[in-house]
Amino acid sequence: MKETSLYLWHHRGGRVGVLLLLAMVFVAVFAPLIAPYEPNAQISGSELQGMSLTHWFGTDFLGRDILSRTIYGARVSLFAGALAVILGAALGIFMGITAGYMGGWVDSTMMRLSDAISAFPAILLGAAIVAVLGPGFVQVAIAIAIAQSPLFARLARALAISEARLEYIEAAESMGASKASIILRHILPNAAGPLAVQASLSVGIAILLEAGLSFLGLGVQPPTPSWGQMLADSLRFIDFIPAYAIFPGLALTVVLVGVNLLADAMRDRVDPQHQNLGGGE
Amino acid sequence: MRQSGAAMLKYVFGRVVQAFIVVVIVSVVVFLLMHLVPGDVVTVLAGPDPEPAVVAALRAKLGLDDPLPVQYFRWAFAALQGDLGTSPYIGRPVTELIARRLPATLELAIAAIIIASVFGILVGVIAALRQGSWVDTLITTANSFILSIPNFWFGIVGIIVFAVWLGWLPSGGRKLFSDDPIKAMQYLLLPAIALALDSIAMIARLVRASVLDELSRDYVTVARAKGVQASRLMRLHISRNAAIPVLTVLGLRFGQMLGGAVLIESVFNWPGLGRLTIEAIRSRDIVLVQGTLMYFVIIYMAINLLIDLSYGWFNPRIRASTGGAV
Amino acid sequence: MTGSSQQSSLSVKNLKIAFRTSSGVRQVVDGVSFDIKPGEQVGVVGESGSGKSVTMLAAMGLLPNSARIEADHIRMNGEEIKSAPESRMAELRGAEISMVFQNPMTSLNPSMRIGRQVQEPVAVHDKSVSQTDLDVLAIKMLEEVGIPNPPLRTTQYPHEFSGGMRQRAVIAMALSGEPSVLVADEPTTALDVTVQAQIVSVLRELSRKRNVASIVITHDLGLVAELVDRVMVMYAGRIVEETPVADLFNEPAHPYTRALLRSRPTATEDSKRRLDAIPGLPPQSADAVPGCPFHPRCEFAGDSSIDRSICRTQRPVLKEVAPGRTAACHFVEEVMSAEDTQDLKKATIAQQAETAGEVVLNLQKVSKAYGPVKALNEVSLTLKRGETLGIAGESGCGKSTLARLAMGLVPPTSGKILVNNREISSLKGRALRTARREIQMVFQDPTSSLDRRMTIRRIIAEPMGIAGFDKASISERTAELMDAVGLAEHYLDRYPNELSGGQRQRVGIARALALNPDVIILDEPTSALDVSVQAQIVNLLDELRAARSAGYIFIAHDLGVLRHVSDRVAIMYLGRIVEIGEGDELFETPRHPYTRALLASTPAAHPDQRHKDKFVVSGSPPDPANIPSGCGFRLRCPLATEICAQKRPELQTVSGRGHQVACHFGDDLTSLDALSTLQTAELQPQESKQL
Repeated sequence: MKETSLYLWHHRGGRVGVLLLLAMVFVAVFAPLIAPYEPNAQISGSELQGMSLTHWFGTDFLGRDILSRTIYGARVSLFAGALAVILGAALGIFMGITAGYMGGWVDSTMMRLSDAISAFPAILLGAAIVAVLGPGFVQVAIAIAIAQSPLFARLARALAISEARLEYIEAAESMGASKASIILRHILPNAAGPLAVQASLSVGIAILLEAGLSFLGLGVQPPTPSWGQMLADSLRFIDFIPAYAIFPGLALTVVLVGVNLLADAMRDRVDPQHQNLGGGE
Repeated sequence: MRQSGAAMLKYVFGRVVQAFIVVVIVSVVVFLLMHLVPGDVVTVLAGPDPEPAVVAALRAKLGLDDPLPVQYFRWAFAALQGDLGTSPYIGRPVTELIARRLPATLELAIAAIIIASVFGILVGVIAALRQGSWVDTLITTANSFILSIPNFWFGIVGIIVFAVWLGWLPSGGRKLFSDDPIKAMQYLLLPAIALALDSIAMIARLVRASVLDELSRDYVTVARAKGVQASRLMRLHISRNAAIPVLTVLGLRFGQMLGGAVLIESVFNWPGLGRLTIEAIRSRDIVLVQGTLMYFVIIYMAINLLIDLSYGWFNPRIRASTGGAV
Repeated sequence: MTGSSQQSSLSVKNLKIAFRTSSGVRQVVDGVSFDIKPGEQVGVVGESGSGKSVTMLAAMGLLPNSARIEADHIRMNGEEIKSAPESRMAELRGAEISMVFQNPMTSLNPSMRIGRQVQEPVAVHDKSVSQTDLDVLAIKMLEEVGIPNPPLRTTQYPHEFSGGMRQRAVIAMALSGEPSVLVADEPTTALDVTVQAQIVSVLRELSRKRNVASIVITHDLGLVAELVDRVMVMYAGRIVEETPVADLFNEPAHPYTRALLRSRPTATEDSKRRLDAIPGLPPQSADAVPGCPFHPRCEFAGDSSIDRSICRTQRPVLKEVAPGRTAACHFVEEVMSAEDTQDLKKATIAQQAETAGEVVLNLQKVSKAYGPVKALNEVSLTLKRGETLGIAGESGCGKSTLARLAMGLVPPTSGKILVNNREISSLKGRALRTARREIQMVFQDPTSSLDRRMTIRRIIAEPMGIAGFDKASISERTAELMDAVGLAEHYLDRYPNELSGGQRQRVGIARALALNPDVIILDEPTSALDVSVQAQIVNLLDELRAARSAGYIFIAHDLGVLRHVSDRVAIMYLGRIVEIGEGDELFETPRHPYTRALLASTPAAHPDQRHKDKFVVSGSPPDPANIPSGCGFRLRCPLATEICAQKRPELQTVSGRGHQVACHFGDDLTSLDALSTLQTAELQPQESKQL
């Protein structure tokens, strides 16, 4: 763990990613201290203003401060992204490892199921699930988690299969280790690296999906501020006040840049090519 | 060769069966999902404070009182015959609604996939051939950033710059090529670029990786040991082998674009299938949602199948994967 | 080097190669010089990391940009190519010098037809040759390397070729541009034994017929004995000895050469002498060791009684030790006149067969099928405590399946497996898991057989933990085991990647011993190791076999190792045992044509024995999914008659000492001997006959 953190910190992109994400998490956690206004305070008479000293990013159609709403929007985005990936990874890894190691009908069932999930366009599947569960923070996270689970299932299965082919697994079986203990003691720890990379990539996808669902009005409901919803609102007034559309999207992009840089750095860490610099003859 | 022909047939058959199983699972999932949606058609159709008798009559007419399996099989068998039902809100057959929106979706997806493959492959090959140089670093870094830009936001920014500020392009909507090709191009340009954006970066990244991967293989060293020079190596040896993963991802991307362009369609008021589905979800038009979702999945599975089968052409090993070597 | 006025085909002077890596510059070749005369057959021998392949790749201009190459000169047919541009090098490659690589499975482009690949060296160098002529050339080349039905074969893809056929195609490709120098880098290492022999004879005949100078790079002294006239021995990036091949085997001048020769068991040698293992490991880089790079492992470099500080301080240079021979050692004369001490050590290994105890493993008509693939067919055998049973065979013969069945890792399709007289083939769940502990295995690949995320301590403790040992006895036993396999205790807290291959294999052995199993299965335990390290492991196993009272099954494709370690040997072909008997008897009077072929295909132990036994069979082992009727070997067998197609021969006892053979002609030693003296020309490979 410590070595990995050090590696990420010394990785060129990794450090930028870590700093961007830490900054965003800080903003989300301390939003009440940082934001100049209450996110839902409607200041009458100052609707749809451009950028100014009192409202750095301007105000929206209800006279709410866009800067404050952008700051609060980080909460929904980051927490929904994280929750969705935790749930999706748990579901997918369980499916994948079981399928890969057990093989047979368990494998085919799990894999056809995951094929079925991934055959849907992710955002429409998310939208349909939200339609069933109702709008809301947790519901959105669950919808995204389900849509993401096949990614984890497929990767975990491939890792389990390639790991199970290694001779030390046979050695463990020959000692009388049970399947469950082999999965827990050998396969999972060795698959952890690539799965962590996938998880970090998935955080980006999940944040993007959350923003997309909010943009379509199927995410967190107003008045809770979310970036997707702000972007949707901004489209209506794009001719008068373009700044409205810029800042929530920029915030979203910064988070995604941070997540992807971190994911790239983690991949460099895990990629076996970086571990075999030796080169023979 | 007869033997490998039979192996190919077996392979095709296996893949088709697998795809069919997935479609069946999907149909069950879609059907159940939609029946879990709170508030069914009747409450909407019958209006506020309906007479119980009216409700009962409507339910009977729509077959909603039958057991779920019966309803499922009725729907599935009709769907097999090309009848996806009739939207109770719009009052038109779902297939007709899909057919009406399909050209717009196809047009956008084809334009985007062309942009993505042309630029993605070009940029990726350049990066691979100049591996380690500043060009490579620039392309690789740019790719990372482009992959982080949400494409619907990129579309919005595009509108601000090219429609609001410069006034060069329209901010949304669609014109038919048959009416005015130039106008149609203008309407198509921004949404297609926005939709292609992350695919360009992804394809470029993949092309770079897969060309580098091929370059590191033994047969490339062998070819160089024969005196084969760089251009011929790229043209005759690497391109075909490196094409396989690229083709796969291009196909999958195209499949996703056909169904997942909802956000771009919404930003640009593009009258495609994605928006139709979202509108149907918003208005709880279950029949329409079921129909469009099934449609997307089948298209996606079909494209997947085509990609798998095309491997045979690119990769002779699969053509006769079970034929023994002598 | 020799005083000939003839221009060298390839001449290299003072070549130095270094690689830039993330951990600094690594010197891999340091001052290598040699001359190759036209038509000469030269061997370059060394272990992995000795710089032998890199040297040749540098001469061809094929090293990556991270390599820094310096040389006084590199000349090809007199032309200086040291700093020639890539375009000139490309012109020379394929036309003047070409290369055959180790792995035929990866050296052909999978999506290009064989014919196009074979004709490519000509196509890229001479654009005026018509496509028709190119196709004719490709067909001619395939014919020359003995590929049947060339017109059809040129239109096929690599996956339609077996490993041996692919390597033939690679040779055809390398020769099609009529180069004057052919470099063959471990050309047979990736192939089955009988196929190796075919490739050796193709290489030998073609290089002589076409008068191509050949450079054979290999770790295998047997290949050198078979193929070349002159040998260069490389160690740590330098040539340490250069000599005519016969002298190398008769009177090695460098201690490393001498040690390599003595650390190698051979199939023709009758007794169980203890191998002279070379202690330690080769250095990681050419400049890692001051003085003579070999001195830390050298038996002549002095000990407490003799002070030889010169070996530690001064780098020996190559000097002439006899006409046409050079060596880089401060004490050449002593090495060359050193006595052969082997006889003294002959008796060190106890004969275990006589002391063998009760039966610990008993297989009764065991079969295993994976779908249409019949991996194992009605195999019966017994193993007694204290005994070692060797199993040999080529790929697909079922030896690994046999191991996994005996371990209870996969259930048999039919038949019974008894361990200590208890049937394990019918056990399930916890009972099966407990029973498995009575049989342990040492695996082929010392890397993948250890969990890379566990320390050595945890790896060795794992079986004891599962078996429920308490903490104190685990740590006591772990120390015992480390001692038994010759590993210092400080390795316990390291990870597998911090150990060398040989050390990892020792860990694997310690783990297998941990539960005191009754049967230990060794699945090619030395084949992934360098020659010098292989001997260390074989010696360790010898010690353990003498001390522990388990039965051993030793699976190997190297008949030399197998003969050395085994009391009895079973030869397998297509999932059946075709011959079984006491080791010495079986190796001296093989009854089955396949055993004879395996022995004849094994590279010679000495150049004098070159071409001694011509019993080379054609083709490669058939697909286990498609086993011929009657005798499985009949399609490749020179003795086969009608009865072989109609009736499958059963194992029959042919001598009082339990020698059994499954051949209709098992008693007919005279026909076998007659066939052994055939000329190789009569044994051109034929296409496998159809069923």
